[in-house]
Amino acid sequence: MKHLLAGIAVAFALPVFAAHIGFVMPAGARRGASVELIVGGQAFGGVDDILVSGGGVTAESVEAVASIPHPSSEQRKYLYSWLRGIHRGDPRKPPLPESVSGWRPHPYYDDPVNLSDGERDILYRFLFVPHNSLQASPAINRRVLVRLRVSPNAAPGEREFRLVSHGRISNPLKFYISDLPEVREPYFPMPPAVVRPLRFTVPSVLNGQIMPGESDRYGFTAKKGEVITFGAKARDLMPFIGDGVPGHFQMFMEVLDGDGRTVALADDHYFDPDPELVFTAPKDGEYTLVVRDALYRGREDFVYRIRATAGRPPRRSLAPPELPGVSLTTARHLAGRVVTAPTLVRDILRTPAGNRYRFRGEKGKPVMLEVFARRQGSPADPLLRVRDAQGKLLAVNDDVPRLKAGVILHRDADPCIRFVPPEDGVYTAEVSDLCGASGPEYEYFLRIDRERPRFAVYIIPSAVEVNRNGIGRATLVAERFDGYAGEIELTLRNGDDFFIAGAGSIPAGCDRTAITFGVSNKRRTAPQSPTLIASGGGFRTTAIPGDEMMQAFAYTHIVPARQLLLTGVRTVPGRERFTWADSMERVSLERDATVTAQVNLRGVPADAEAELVMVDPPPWLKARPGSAHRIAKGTIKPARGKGAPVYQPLSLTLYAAPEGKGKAVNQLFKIIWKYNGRPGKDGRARRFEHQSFLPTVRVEGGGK
Amino acid sequence: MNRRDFLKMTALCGVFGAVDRLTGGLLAAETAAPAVRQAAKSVIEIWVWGGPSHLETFDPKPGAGKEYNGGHGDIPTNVPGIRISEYLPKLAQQADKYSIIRSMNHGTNGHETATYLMQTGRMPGDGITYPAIGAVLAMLKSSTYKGKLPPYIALTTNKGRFSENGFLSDRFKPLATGSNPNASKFLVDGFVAPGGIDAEQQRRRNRYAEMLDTFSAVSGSCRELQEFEAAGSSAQAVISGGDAKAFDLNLETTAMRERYGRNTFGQCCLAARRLVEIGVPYITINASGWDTHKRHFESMEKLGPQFDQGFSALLEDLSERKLLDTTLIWCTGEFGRTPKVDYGEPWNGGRNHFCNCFSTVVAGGGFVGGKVLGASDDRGERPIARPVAPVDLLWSIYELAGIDPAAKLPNPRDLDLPLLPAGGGKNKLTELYRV
Repeated sequence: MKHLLAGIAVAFALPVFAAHIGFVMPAGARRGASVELIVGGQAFGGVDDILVSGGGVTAESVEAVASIPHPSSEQRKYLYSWLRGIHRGDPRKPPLPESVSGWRPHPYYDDPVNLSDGERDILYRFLFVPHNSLQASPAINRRVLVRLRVSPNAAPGEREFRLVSHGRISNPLKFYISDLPEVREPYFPMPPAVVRPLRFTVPSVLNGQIMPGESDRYGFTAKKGEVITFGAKARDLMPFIGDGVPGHFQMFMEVLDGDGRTVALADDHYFDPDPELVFTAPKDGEYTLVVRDALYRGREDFVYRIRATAGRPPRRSLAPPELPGVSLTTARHLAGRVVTAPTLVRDILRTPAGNRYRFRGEKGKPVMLEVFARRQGSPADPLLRVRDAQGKLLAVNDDVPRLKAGVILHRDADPCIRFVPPEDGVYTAEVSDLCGASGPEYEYFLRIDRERPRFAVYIIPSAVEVNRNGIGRATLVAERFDGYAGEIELTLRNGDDFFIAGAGSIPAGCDRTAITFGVSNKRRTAPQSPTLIASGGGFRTTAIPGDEMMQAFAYTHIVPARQLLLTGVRTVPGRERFTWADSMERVSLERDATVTAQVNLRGVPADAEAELVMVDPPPWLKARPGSAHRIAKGTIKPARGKGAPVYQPLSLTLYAAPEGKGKAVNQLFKIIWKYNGRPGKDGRARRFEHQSFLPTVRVEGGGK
Repeated sequence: MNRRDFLKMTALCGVFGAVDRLTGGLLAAETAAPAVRQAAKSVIEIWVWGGPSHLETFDPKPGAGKEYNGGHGDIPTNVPGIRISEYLPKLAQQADKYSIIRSMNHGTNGHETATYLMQTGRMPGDGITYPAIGAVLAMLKSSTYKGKLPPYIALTTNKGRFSENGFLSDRFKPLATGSNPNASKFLVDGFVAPGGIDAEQQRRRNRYAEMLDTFSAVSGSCRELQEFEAAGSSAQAVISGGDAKAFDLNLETTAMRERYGRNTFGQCCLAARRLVEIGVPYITINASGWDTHKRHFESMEKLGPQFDQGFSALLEDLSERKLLDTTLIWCTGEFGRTPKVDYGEPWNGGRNHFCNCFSTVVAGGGFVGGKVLGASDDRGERPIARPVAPVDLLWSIYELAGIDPAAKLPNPRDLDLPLLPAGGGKNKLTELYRV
């Protein structure tokens, strides 16, 4: 009992959930700088460190911001007067009124003079931005102030920023290391007419946050003919917002001349919602860059970074898709010759008529024709047609529905045709833009190939917590290509203390299933970043870590992360209490089958109860009603003291519905475990409930 | 009204006057045609706007686990074998008066499209904006409805543009009362003069307005203008007539107001009963706040009891007044909510939109009570018996209101448009018809 209570105490000292980050402001820092970040999110209890991928970034301090109480209107007026003075350079504390009864205390209210920039930003926004209940979200209403230092040697580029709370790792958000001066929008509520734009010089990176109805203004000087490129990252930083429509910050940028006239604007960059504005100064003078949301929405998670650089953006050539065994060539190199599969052709839509490629086909032997454009970052929306030698149209496609993975909203825009030639002969593949667009930037790749069965595997979430007294669970999503339907074997590499517990493959035909991990080191260790290798049918790839994000209340996307992290935590009190009774690697449901787990009763209170249940089984997999053998409240005769485990079984009888024939799943099971805690001051004991997961079991529906 | 508004209004009168003449001609033919049944004189639509969770209303899943039911269970009703959510104890005692459809489904998770589908039986996109069922019933019942109030009343707001009249005349647009029936005085928009002026002051104002209206004097033969003035006179008659007292909830006893619940939804239900008593053909109560993406169960703590009290009182009261047999009630949202609770951010125990399976309740007006039609699986994620589509439900409501759903819907282009898509009646809810 002592152990159990100790375990409970530990469990409740830990945060119940890992922290979840909703925004990081600013979302980047310059090499060699020390920067204060405001991180918003929820479940920030116990946050004590950060984790930034790529190295060279360390936390100097991590400090949770206590909830700020709402002041009375009199107190608000007083604070506003003081803060306005500070803003104007007069930090003297105004005289207090005779009565301050009912005024709410808070360190920020007591001494706003000595607040850091981040603290003052938080206070200003709290006091002066009107509360909009429609836009408010509990998911971003906690704050942590992080002071971080970036090493002068840190590599510039994209990183991942996470919070750490007692070893538990948050979701990632993008964070950029730059080599340019960073400008940060200081927030202070002033009417737009009297706000003086924050000045910057080119090159710089501008960081800001858009609140409801707000427009940020930055002033700069330019000479006639000078070209400045403003490259924005807004949706890039938070690709999907669940509780907003259209589900991301839709940034709008415009440049005003000295007379306030708009001389340039941008609200996107081809299909990318983040705008790129190339501004050519019409005359010498002062200009203002205005930044806002296209719909005048705003919230703390509407964070942006704008890279202002001299000159036009460099021409970016598309990176080819990874297709081992397929040789890359260019259209110029082909020179109208018949293409020999397998070939990947790099080409450009220079005219609306598009391009043609001749290829040889053998009767009945499939040829894969696949365009890679949008997925690689091209603005093209290609249309693919196949014609025979007489010009007769045999197949046409403009897009293929794909798994919602990645941050591109139009992943489906690329066409693919599995073409089965009706006769031996030479056929023509035509690629054009669906809207007739063309130009040097309309680049793409055309794959002319045999069927190349392969797959991509995603593991969700990217940071997996493994209970040091049990297991950790994650979800695997497989996207299969060119008809691959077979089994996908999984291997964990460089996992050190971590291992795959339970089923170690994705069953044939199964696209979404569970995976469980165990950890051999029972002590707390630093997170490890292993690689999950997926192989099958002679193909091998690395599983892509990712996190699910919802867009606009409806669509769920897998957002890839830079690294898979496994961390050992203690989420369940006590020793290893729940295990499978037998070797439970595989269960076939040709007929009913019973799965049996066991509970170690040593140190368990008499009022505990436990039940074994399936977690999200597929519709064809069911438990026989009434078959669950559970531990009912009051039936336990607990074994006290130290000693060998005393096990009691928990079982469940499974069966497969007829539609489950030939199907299989890695089924996750959990034990729901309830018991009374210590009595409180009122003498009543709170009843606790825990869920403890067991290694996955491969369950097959039987038949073929 | 300024000159610009006036001209705009007269122009509209011209357009809709033409539509009225068209519909009027066809209406006679339609209403004389096969009136299938004649049970429901009035229809009350309780629109649970945003999409109520079927698990916390009429299709609880106590065995699905906390990830689905959030730890909330079911309770027995006064009909053996039927259990509903523990959030609805008062409705549980009225279960003999209503039937539950637990297998509603359609294919769209967007509020707007789903609302249009539930209101018209059709998916949008064919270039025609169809009228909502309320507007259709208001039009087809207008020949028998002799009341002064508009035939289609929305308590208290419209469902955006989705309770609208489509291509029908503006006469069949819903009158949205606005205001709050739970206030000390229910100040229906347009029925109460601004600034607290009395009836005599209002009459004097009208006389002055007529004196200043020189445009009418010089264009007296303009038919559209005459129609406009007639509409204005009708409006005046409504405001000053006795039917407007239906909105004066202070004429009810305190006990009766308490019975329905002193909140907006409860008093809307009471107002609906009063409107039924004077024969208004179609009343819709648009109950808002049910789009519980975030912290669903906290929201249900408020929404559930109000809904339970208001709806149960309406059923019981109509029944006691012998009005339930002639008043058809249907209660639904545009969809249900995801059976699996999303405990992640930003939802924190929320439920999102779910069109694959949800529940609708029908009562009175030719529907039997005490039955369950269809069933969902053990998590409420899909229908496993007797799937019901919006068109099946609407078909039955039309039929029980005495209207042939296959009849031609009058329209200004004289297209061959049936009230509901052809063949839509194959799955109508005959199991729930009172024989």
